[in-house]
Amino acid sequence: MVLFSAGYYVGGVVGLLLGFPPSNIGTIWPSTAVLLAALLLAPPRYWWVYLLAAVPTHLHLTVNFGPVTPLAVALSQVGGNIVLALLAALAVRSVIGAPPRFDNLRDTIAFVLLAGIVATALACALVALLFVLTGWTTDFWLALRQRILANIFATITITPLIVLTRAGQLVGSQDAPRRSYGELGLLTLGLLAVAIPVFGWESPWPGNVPALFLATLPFLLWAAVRLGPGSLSLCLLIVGGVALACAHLGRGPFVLHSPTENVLSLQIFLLAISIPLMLLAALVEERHRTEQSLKQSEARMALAAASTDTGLWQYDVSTGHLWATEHCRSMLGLDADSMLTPEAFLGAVHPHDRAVAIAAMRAAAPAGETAGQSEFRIVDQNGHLRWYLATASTEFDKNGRPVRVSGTFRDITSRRNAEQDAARLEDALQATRRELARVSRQTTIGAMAASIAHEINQPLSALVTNGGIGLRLLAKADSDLDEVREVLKRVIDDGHRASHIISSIRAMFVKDRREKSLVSIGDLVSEVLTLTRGELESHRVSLQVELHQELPPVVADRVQLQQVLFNLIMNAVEAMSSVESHERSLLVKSELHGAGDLLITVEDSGPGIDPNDMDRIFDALFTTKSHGMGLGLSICQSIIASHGGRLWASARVPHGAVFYIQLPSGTAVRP
Amino acid sequence: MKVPESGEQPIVFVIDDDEFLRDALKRLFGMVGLRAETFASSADFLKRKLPAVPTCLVLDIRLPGISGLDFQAELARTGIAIPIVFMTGYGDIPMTVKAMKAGALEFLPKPFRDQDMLDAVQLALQRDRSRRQAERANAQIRASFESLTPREREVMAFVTTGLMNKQIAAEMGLAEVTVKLHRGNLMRKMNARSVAELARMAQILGIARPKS
Repeated sequence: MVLFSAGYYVGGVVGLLLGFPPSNIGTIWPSTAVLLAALLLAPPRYWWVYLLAAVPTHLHLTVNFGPVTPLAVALSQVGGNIVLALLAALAVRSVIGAPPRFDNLRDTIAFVLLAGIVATALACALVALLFVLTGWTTDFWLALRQRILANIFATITITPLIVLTRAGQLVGSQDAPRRSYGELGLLTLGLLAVAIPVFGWESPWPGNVPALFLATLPFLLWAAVRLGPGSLSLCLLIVGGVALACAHLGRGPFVLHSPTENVLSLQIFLLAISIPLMLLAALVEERHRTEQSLKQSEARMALAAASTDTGLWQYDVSTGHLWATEHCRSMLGLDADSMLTPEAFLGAVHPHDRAVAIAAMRAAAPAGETAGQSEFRIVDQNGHLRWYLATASTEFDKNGRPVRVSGTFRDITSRRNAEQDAARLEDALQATRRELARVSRQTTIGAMAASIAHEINQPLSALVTNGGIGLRLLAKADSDLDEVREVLKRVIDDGHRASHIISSIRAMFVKDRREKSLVSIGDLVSEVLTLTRGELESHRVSLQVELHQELPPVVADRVQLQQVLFNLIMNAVEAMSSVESHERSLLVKSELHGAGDLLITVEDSGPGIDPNDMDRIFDALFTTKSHGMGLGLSICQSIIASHGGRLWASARVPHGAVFYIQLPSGTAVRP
Repeated sequence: MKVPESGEQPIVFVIDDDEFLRDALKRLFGMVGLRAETFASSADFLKRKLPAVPTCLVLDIRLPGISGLDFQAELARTGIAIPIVFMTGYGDIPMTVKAMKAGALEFLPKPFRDQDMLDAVQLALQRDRSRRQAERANAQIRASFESLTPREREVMAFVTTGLMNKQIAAEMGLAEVTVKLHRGNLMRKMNARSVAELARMAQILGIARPKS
């Protein structure tokens, strides 16, 4: 607040002092610009404080420094200043937002137009009108023109200077502010060193040489381009100040005509250079910021790419320049500061994959394809082999000529390794599975062999025993031939019995093992039951068989189906071996199921399947048995699946389990 | 062939689910003068009250209802001490070992030689005969022991541990003459000819020296 009052006061003093003495015409009026800056910086709810403070300050100023002025005139002046600042502040706030940064072209143009021209013109018109009404002056247009010109220059230089200084942007958004302040200091000194001689010394040439003003232009351009709007406004003020002060002292290129004309030319000159330069500074600042945000976004992108182990590159077809992120270069084993060239890239690629890389580059560069990708190996700095996935896409101009090729390198080594590991694992798993299936098949065959041996040895025992009896009878002197005949008949019967059993077992194996044939479900069940009869009896399992008499045959591998049924029945028998509380019963049933399917059911009264295990019983290596590998059901299921059928299980009420074999019938599938 | 003691005529029991083999075995045993009874299952066999003659059991290891091995264990549990000859259509080594450990007399894989079967059965019957005789003798001793008075039993216990009459009298607080009298009576009642024989009887009876 105090600063504001002081600024307003000093501005007023300067303004009054720089008025041209004969007519007291102010050439620059900084106080209003100070007030405007204060309003732009302060929140609107405090505006009234500044506006009120301006009144006594202005009056005091007028009384002490100005020429004798009636109170009405002084009040008109301060009122005009307040109106100007208020209008300008409102306009800028609503269009640009407060405080303005003067760092882009649009905002700066808006500021110059609204605050510098429109608000100033309106306020000054008001003041000029009041002057005429109070009789202070008679020439409305002159008063208007003088006040407008005095205020515009102040508004477009002092207001930005204060606002930007306050925002710490005096030297713009530079990367190294300290050096820039030093530069500004040097610039100021240089500017003074040029401006003072140009404006202050007696012209060595007779006549008006306004062109000398241009000597300050390089410094102003320097400020505009390198240091931004803040510094530029400071420099403009210096030039304006020196020029006005010198003119005031009667020196410089502008003291050749009447004071009014002098002031006019000076003001026009100052405006003519400051407005374009301010716009230039805004443009440069805008460019600079855009560039910075581009750089930031590029850095972010490179970081994001690096974090996913991706390198980015772009190839400019017309210049041959190859740009790449640092990570991209390090992926290729190049130093961070060494250039990436197609040759350097190819040098990094594994010799075996160079042909692939060259082909990929050729494919990416010319017109046609817009995107492509290839995989190749490189040897990194540590000598490790790495797999990269390269992608590329080409941009074309209107005529279809390639302009740019951009793409990525992605490290896919771990993925490739994982793929290879998975493939190896899968192979090992397959081999184990085959081996286990083989072992299981042998186990099944072993169990079948035991059953076969038992079945055949039964009649053979009787046969051998009867044979022995025959010999003993013959050895006796008084043997009865009828008895011998009877025993021999029995021997023959036993032989036939054995032969019958052998032929029924043979029926199970005689069919081609490889090829599927038409199999009768009834025969199949009977054959397997023959083999398992002994097990059922020895485990006191009561057997019930319900065979549908008119089932169509199935196309199947007979031996495999026998294995499945044998397995299911043996499992049921084993499951029921622990049952003592109720009858051990097995039901084997065959029936028609749905449209043309056959269903074989094996039902037992064992302890059943734990509901938690129900999902897993068909998994390989799952077993609830203390001995056993858990392969039986898994193999059964794959056998049935290979016949286009389905094997599943369910719980039986009140106890036990039911296994279902569903098979498509031979009439559905052409044999 | 005639069996010497008609009351002691042994019986061979056969359990096998194959009817033809049962018949053949019955015929075979008949040819050597052995009486054979056949059963299709262990349950049928259990219905038969076992006679007080030497017997043996020819048992198929694979039986309807219960396996031969389980049946062997069940017989042992119920105290039926009958020698068993196993037959098996397909026996593996663990099964054989298990049967033999449980006291099987012989293990014959089918088909077996008829002579092997006869030898095994004769051996089994001999075993059973000896066992029965021993049991009978033991029963005799037990009966004799039952006829002793409590005093005589007490004296017998001391005698069998090798004490002199004098020592026994001191132990029991009796006159030596009284001990001598008891001793004479018990030796007569037990039908023992020497102290050694009496000691063997005491061992069979499981008599221990009374606590002093």
